[in-house]
Amino acid sequence: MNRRRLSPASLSTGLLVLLPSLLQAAPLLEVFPTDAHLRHKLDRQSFVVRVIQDNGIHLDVTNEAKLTLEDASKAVLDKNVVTPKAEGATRLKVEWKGLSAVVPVAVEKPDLEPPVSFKLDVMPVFMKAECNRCHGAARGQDGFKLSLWGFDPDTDYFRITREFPGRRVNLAVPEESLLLTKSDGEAAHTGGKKFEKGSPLYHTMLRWLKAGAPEDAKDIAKVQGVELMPGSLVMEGPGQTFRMNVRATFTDGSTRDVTSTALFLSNNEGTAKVGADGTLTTGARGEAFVTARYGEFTVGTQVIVLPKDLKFEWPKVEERNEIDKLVNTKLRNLRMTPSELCDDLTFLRRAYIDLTGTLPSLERVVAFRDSKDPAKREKLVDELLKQPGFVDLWTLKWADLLQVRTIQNQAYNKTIQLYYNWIRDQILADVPLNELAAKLLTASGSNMENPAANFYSLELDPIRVTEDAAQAMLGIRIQCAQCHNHPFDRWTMSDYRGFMAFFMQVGRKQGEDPREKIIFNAAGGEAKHPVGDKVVPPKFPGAEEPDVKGKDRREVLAKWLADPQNPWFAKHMANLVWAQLMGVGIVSPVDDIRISNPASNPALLDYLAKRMVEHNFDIRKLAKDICTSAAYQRSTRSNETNELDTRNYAKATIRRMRAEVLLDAIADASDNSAKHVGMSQGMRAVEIADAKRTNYFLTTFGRSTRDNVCARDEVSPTLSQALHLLTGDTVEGNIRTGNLVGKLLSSGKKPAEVMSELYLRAIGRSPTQEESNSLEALFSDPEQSKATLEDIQWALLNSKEFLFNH
Amino acid sequence: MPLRLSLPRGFAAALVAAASLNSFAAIPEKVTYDDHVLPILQNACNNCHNPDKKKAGLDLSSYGGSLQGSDGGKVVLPGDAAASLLLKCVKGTEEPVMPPKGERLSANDIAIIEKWIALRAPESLASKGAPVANNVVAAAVSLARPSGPPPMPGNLAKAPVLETPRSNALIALAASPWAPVTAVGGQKQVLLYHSDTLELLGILPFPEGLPTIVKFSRNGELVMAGGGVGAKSGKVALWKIGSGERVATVGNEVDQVLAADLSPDQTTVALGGPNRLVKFYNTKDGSLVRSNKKHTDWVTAIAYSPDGVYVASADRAGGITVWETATGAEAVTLPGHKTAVNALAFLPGLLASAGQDGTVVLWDVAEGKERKKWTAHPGGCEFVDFTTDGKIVTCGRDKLAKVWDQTGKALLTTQPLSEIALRAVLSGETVVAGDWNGNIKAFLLADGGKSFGDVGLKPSGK
Repeated sequence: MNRRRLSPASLSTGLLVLLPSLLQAAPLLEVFPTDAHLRHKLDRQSFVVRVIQDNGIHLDVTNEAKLTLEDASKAVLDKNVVTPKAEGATRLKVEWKGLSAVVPVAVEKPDLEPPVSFKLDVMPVFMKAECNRCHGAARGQDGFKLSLWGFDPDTDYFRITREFPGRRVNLAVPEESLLLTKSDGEAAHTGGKKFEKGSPLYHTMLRWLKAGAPEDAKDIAKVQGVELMPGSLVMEGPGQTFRMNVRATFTDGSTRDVTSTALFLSNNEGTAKVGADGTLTTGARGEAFVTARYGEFTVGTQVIVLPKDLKFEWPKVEERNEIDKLVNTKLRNLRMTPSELCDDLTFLRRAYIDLTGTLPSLERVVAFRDSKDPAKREKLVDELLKQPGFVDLWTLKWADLLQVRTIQNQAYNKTIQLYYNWIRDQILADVPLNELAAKLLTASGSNMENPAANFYSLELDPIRVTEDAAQAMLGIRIQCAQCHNHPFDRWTMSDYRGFMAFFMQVGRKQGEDPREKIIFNAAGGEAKHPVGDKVVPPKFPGAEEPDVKGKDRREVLAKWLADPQNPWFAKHMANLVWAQLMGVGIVSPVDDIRISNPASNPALLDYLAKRMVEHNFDIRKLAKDICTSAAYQRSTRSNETNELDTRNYAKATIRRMRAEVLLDAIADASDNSAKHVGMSQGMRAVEIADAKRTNYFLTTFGRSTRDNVCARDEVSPTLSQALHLLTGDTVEGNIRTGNLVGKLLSSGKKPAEVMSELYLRAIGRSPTQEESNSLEALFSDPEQSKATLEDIQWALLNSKEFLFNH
Repeated sequence: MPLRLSLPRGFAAALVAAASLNSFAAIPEKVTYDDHVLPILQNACNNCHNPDKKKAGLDLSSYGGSLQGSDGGKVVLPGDAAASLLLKCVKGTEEPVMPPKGERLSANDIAIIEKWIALRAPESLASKGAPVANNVVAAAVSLARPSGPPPMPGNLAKAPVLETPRSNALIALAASPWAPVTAVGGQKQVLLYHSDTLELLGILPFPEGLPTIVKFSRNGELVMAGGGVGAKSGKVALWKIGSGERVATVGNEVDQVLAADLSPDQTTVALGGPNRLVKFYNTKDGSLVRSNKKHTDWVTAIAYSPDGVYVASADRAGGITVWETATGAEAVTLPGHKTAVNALAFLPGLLASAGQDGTVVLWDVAEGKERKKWTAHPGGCEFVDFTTDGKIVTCGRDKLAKVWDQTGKALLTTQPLSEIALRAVLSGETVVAGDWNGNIKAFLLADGGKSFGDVGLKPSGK
């Protein structure tokens, strides 16, 4: 039986890998890669054999497995490496303890010795030996400069061979080239010895020098993608090893085993160390992300390391939908038991704050508490999704993303308010998010008649428009790639300029009203590559160059972005919704999707993106999927196994209410109708359109200034926040103006009843017996009732239980 | 047989093995600084502990420096290896562990150092012959053609020191000011050709490494070559052209010499390289006379004025400084090139510089002013030379070599070479130019730039 299974790492997405579940019925044997294509004499392919045991732990059995070639006349097998012998095809048979797999091996032109290539052979040596780590600095190192991460091979070629003729290469006596003697320790080198004389890296370099340091043909194949195998690992105990395998695919369709020249890095060496040859060694319990870099590409693999012989039994856990299945699969691999579901009142308050940015009313708390309907949680979610608070909250989020704020002499109150209202209209009308994004990208005309056009009038510099659009709509920080290839991601300078090219033809002119800007398609203007100053045609990030002839380039871009097949948009939007509800994104921060900042649960993110598309980009529907899952409804209390979890949703995340929501909550809990500067009486803080509108409370509590796209609202605590709550005029002022205690007492309620109502309004529950006992003792003096109750109210509004959503 | 500018590999290996005892498995009976310890220090320590950088005040590149020690005191206590800081640091038993980056010394290397100190740190083997005595006679400085027949090579050895299947870039080329002789730097050798017949006249061995620069003395009697091994050693050698006798070897550099010139009175060699210093050595006893620290990047060119009054030096960042020969004081700095200066040439009072910016600049040295500037080779002017009668020869990245008068008028443009034209000189009526591929062609000045032969490839001439 053929038990081979397709390697799970998908090239386009790099790391979105379904972690194998622990529920394997029987051990599974896999071989990586699943085929070999040897195209010439020097080609080789190494294999890795993995067994997934029935307890879900992975073993590298490459050494123990029996490998045989069916037809030994076609290829040579040495341990786990095949090299070509004669043209034709054969199969590699892999056997281990009764399990087996077969891998096809094709051999083409076994006698052809391909010319050595600077870009394909020599450049990877600089990467592997980490030459560009020092020499890639902006001014080079010790007089010799290479491009950072090898983004500019043409210039590197020039610098090595011709910048200083006679110095770096000696083509008459190649062995004496400084390029080699510095690297192999023969000559003094500040960076020390980088590789051994006679090592494969040395030989590659020497072969190129002996050939006369030739320049590559212009049409030489480029790396198109890189695959790191296996795509994920679950290992047990320290000191275990697993060899990784890296394969590159090229634009001419060929593949190549680049394990020996790829550069390996681990983001958590304590858990998984990775050697220069790609062999991983486990350490302490934890998760690590191992990346391999080859050419312009970085790909990664998630590694889970568990303690040896951990006693763990997966309990019966309620799974309400696919989200729960995916979250639990990861938790089982991590050997974590999820926390129990939270109680009804905790759920009620949590759902209110997450979905509407408001606190449940007194009546709502009581009704929900007393309802016996088994479907009451689901019904509550449906109800909340229809409330105006939901619209306000998501308008606020989009206003953050789009940096809605006044700018002196550029963006005025009037236009900003129009922009805000326009966003709110879209959310209210359930405009699918992809359409919303397309409307913004293609916006033309007056920013007063078509407020979406403010997308182009708030930011004039095409560089900023490019970066902001990538970050807001795709969750990609492409900034680094403006000047050099992104050091920790796949983005190259060409990607950057290609994306920028879509925004180079945006025309802007002044309208009659000084506040008015007219946006139009100028149909001219190009992005130029900083290396070589060549025009870069529009190119979708990580995808193709579209035909833009005679079209508004933004229309082309919007069409691509809004397409359900778009690999980035749905995922980014789904992650935004998830992060809003769960407190932490699957990719976190949400606007920093990159290879080296991997999703904590790629399969879950993929699923949510798929649902986003199925729901036609409707936030409400996806929010309902999430809020009705068991994962959302968990208690914040941890158990022994999940104490340390922060990213895998084993328990609910405790988080402070964001500034605007908190300010509204204080007013609501005090039954006060607030008046904010520049707003009419009773308007809520979440409705403030302009992030520059003065408000001491909001500034102190870290609202987004919206000056740049990544200035998200900041919820970390500061001393001024604590002092302001304790002694400032917000809590005190709301208690006084709202006069809730006064109103309740004069309606004839007893102090104990008033206290209970204060509790329900502020923290959504009645006082506990213990709280009642100790507080009611204070009501002995009726003269002091009001003051005492207001003290209790003050204490409630200062309590963590109030400030936090839990 | 075609002669390439290089040497056979087997021969090279033998030569290297003979020159250094770096690779032996056993520890010899008698360990000395020169023979055993210095090669280890050169590789591992002298990038920082050399007389120019002197990290922590320590210079390990000379015997004297090593025994003198660092700012913190002696690092070598002859006879007491265990207490010597040098040994403790390389062993890693005491901070700072050395070398700080890269590979630690091998156990064998450490054992050699240990034994050397235990043997009371001898300098060199007693049996070793006395170093070659420098034997340069001071010359009278004259701007006129010397009397008598032009100095030509006598009956010199013509057997190549090294032959290789491929040439390296031609980076060292010079024409005798008075005789029809062209000197070409090869691999570990300098080749002398007749400029008219292109016949090979002789070979001067330079086992110190790759010559990066060759020059003739002002009177044409001496040939100078500078160079060495990258990141390892640098030397300048002088030969009598008539007898081929090596009359001086100066410099004890830790990296290749990239630029050098011999003063017209033949008493001094000025040299420079990646350490950014301009150093002056006495040709009589090889002593270091002066070391000038001024350049902010690698020193790429050095030239004495024919009257011996000035010496100019230039660097990779575009800086040019003119020094007074008598006092060593800075006479003037000449700003103008924004990028690397690749070459300098001197007439009395008039300095020419070739820049990576493609221009040639003529400077009035006394006034410290630019007199004339023109773009000679777009993409980069690699070389500039003056003939004794004041013509200017240049070449560059446009693959061309050109001859100019001092107004910037081109008198001759050669046919394109096969690659970047790196060096070009005018010897009598012959323009000799070489390129990145190592191809060297000869052109007749009167012949409109048409090539009449390949130097080196056809040593028998036309």
